[in-house]
Amino acid sequence: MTHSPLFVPIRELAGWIRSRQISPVALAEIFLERLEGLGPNYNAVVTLTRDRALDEARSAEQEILSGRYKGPLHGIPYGAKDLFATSGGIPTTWGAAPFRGQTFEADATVICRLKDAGALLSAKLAMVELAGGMGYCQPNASFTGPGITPWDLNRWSGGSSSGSGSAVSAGLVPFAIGSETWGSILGPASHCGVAGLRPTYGRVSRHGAMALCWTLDKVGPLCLTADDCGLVLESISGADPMDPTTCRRRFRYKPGLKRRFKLGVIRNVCEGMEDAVCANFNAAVKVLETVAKIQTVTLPDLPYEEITRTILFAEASSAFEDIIESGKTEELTAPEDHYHPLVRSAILAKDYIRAQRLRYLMAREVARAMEGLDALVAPTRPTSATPLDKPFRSITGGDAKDIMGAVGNGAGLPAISVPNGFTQNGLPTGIQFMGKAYDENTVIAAAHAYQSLTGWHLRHPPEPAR
Amino acid sequence: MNGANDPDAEKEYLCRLIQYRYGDRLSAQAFEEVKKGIDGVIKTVTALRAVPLKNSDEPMPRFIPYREEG
Repeated sequence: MTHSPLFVPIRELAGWIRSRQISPVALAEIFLERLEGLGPNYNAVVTLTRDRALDEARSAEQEILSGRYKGPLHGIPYGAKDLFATSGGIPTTWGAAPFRGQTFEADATVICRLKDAGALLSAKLAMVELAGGMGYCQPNASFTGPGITPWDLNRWSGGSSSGSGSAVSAGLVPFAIGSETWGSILGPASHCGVAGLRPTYGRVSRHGAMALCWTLDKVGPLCLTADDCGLVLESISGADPMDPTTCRRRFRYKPGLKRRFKLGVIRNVCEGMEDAVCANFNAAVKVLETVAKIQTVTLPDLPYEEITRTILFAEASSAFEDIIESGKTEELTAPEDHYHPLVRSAILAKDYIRAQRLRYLMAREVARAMEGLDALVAPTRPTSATPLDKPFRSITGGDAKDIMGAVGNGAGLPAISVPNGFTQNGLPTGIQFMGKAYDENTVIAAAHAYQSLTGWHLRHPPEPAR
Repeated sequence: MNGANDPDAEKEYLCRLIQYRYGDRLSAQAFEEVKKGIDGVIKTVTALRAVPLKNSDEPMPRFIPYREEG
């Protein structure tokens, strides 16, 4: 090995492993040491899975030496959000104090798929308690402490896949797995300055993942580049008899996809957002004009946020009924998580069903609005990373709507976020590309085209003193 | 106004429901927060109820009959 493996994309690392310039065991040791030494700076790690990572690394090394190379994830360390079940006595805490000792007998499907691909599970990564399903509104909402962005140790990493975002950003792992119900992959990707891919609903099995909202939960990767997201998605996607909502069509990543894109921007999409977020988005659109035709899109007037919010609240209320009714919610870290869940029990069944009927209408209207377009683009988050001690929903005065998040998650559409600049305070911002259902290849290609024209993803946060 | 269409009346009933079910574990301050939350629920469902739907507008997730193999 002639160069450091830190902040090197998976595609390049894989080349080094395949050509035996670095061994999986050496790679695992390097990242385990960083997870252990630097992880606490960001409250990023719940459990270091050293023994499992080294066992898997030794197996990978033997397989590669004997000519059985499995593909680009073979021998690559990764971390998984701590809501994916892991066997072998490794705790799966869901980020919540009442579950800090919880263990499972079997691995979640996504963990199995990565094992089959030869990736090395190196850590269970921190997350907002119960994936934010109790209605937290400030960063200190996990028994491991608030997630911290590596770009400013006084600012939030975003949630709920907090550790997945910060660990990739700080070079603690080459990639991580997160989950999104509404904003939990794209948000940390934006606040931490990395790429995050929310696949189409049903692309990746939810089996063995904590359920927050059965019809909204998605599993996806956080990586250094859009290209890496494609590599990881190909390994983790596919039908799973244990999750009847999975799609039968297997995702095949097409990295060479090059063409002139047609992108849409929802009218007034920046309204109420932080100035730097708007400025960086407008600058990104200018860059994209060199590879895309951009047009303004108007969505019909529907209560998008209310539709998705009602579905999320009603399903979460049922998914966690046992802990809400037993009063275990009182043991959660965020005070608001003690009483917010009670409010959701006031949602009537007929309103939940109405939201599901409107969801169909929303999906059809958005599909119509996207006709002739490859993707919609927008700022990923209305703000850059917010202070650790401030409620994040009050920062912009609460005016900024998240129509893209409501529509994208409600209709189950794929989206990818990549960094598109920095604020004056040195905090990253992100741009999201949201595509049509099952069209991850196009959003990855558009994001990759943007990354090939810009260097924001090549910047990395300062290393804190150990 | 009929009670079923009066947001204030609905809010009051829902708050009383929460108080009835969980009152023993709610401080006065927490109950005030619950009231704000119920306000949010009422605003949300009012927006949903304002959109006309036809009888043919079905819910998004479709029910699939289950059968064991064999």
